[in-house]
Amino acid sequence: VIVECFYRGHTVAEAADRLGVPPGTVKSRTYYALRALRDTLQTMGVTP
Amino acid sequence: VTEPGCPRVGDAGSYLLGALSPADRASYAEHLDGCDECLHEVGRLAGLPGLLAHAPSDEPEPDPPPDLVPGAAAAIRRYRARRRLVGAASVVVLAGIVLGGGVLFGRIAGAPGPQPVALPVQMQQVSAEPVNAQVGFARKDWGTAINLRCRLDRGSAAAPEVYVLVAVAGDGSVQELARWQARPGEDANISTATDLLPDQLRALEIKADPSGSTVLRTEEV
Repeated sequence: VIVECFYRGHTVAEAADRLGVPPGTVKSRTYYALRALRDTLQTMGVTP
Repeated sequence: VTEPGCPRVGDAGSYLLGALSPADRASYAEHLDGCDECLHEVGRLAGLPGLLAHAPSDEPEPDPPPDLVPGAAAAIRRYRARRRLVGAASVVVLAGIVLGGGVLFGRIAGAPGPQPVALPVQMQQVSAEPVNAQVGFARKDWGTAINLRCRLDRGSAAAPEVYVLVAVAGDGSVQELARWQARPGEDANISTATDLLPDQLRALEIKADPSGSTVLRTEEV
């Protein structure tokens, strides 16, 4: 979802279509991906 | 990490990546005004898109446009053509200096060997179409080599049409030398030839097809 929504610049609806999942799933996965990334960075000592 | 209580906190990620539709985006921005939890979450994640933009990911590039490779190839061809032209022009300048001047550039453009001829002659506009062309001639034992660059302005509203380069001989007879699609904003670079020698050529014309109207003309052969 990060690749589709950020790097490829698709909207949630477009990403949902391309990935074959509901738009709500794209949103929640995007949210959890960013949270996981932030948590990972924090454990590495980086504070974005 | 607190478990999200607001049902819309999941929108925070897509919001920050700019992936929400305009309506969703406006709606969520409005929601942020009244929801501390979402506002807090957006604030905590706000630095990540900037980091993502720097990531040397395997997939950072958007899908390349389908015309990328042909477009790049065309750009390289244009660049090389320009370099050759510059090269040919400098040969002409050198030759002019060596010969002590007195010879017009265009007249000897084709003289030094196999390089493409320079394009010293500006063709005269005959119609209202926003098109221009430069042409160069080289006298050969077998006739005349002709190089042409023709450009239709990008803003041209002219209907898609085909341009035809014709040579008009001294006796009034006409030879078709080349034809191509006139595309606004694109150079057509054409190399062609005729069996007529320069002194047998009365004029060179570019005509539109199928209307047959003359667009450009030159008698400086």
